[in-house]
Amino acid sequence: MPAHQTRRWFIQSSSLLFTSVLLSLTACEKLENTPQFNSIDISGAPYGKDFRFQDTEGQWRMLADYRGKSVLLFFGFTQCPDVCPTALARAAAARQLLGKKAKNLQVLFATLDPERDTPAIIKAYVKGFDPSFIGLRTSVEDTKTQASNFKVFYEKVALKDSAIGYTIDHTALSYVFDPNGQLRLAVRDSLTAQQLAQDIQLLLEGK
Amino acid sequence: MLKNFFLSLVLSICFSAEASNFKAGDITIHQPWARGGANMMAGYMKLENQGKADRLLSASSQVSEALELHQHVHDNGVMRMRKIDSIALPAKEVIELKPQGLHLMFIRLKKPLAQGERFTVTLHFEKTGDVPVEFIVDATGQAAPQKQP
Repeated sequence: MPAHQTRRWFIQSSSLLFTSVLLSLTACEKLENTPQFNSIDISGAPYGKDFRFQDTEGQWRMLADYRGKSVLLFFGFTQCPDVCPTALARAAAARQLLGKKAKNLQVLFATLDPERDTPAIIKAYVKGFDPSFIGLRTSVEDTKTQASNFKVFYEKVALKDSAIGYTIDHTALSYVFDPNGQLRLAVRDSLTAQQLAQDIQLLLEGK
Repeated sequence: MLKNFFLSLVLSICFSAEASNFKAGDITIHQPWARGGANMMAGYMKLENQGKADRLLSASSQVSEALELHQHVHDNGVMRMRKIDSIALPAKEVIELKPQGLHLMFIRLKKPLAQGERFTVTLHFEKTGDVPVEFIVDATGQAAPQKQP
């Protein structure tokens, strides 16, 4: 490389470096002011205001029943042996990480498959992850409404050559409310239990 | 039958401590484990092929009414689970069955399995033939148990 080109390269890369340092400083300043969540911050979203399901004891449940706690809501189905256990096992691990504060987190599992998921099946399923978890269910028709209130996409798909009969394709986000009942976070399936626990910790601190 | 019994016995003695590895021909099966509910369960493991290309055709077990090979496809945020016919094991490669990917699907468990419980699954390979391995139930596992053989 000729000398003048090397110099130009050096100047260009130094200015690039300078700009990135400036940018990261600005980012740090921002960090101090607003909480940085690992999850997707959906505070103020126009959807997911409330829900209405029956728990596995037959009691109707709405968001207000859990006021004062942070609520993690996950839509799934018990014959989903992979994505749903991943989300629920992660929630259980996050509760462990929260230690004494775990009692301020309520994990709810709402079925997208009320045809097969009876209250007894749901109960056995969720308690297998954590005895504090609550399973929720409503009618086939109302499940559509409840899911669409959270922009949850799901679809019953026949698996003709499988002993399962059908499966439910669905979005795999968990939704987290703060203790004031405001929907705050959408949790991707790629997040770890540690990252989730950090986020819930922030919400419990009133952030 | 008797041979199978002794094989299971030997396996259970050899691998009574934790999730372990199993070797048959050029195939090593690393740390099989399973997780799920009272009715369904998914099974995971690493399949290391040190030899020529092979194929996992199916698996069988006494614990469930049916056992299938499944795959999860992450399609624009939507999780889609589908049955697949076989799992290719290319030469000198490691194929991992793991959460949100390839897995064994135990359909309609004959009885719920407890945390830490062990059970035998026979893997049917195209070239290596039938290989019995022992799965361990790890209900709260998020990844393969981090245990050394």
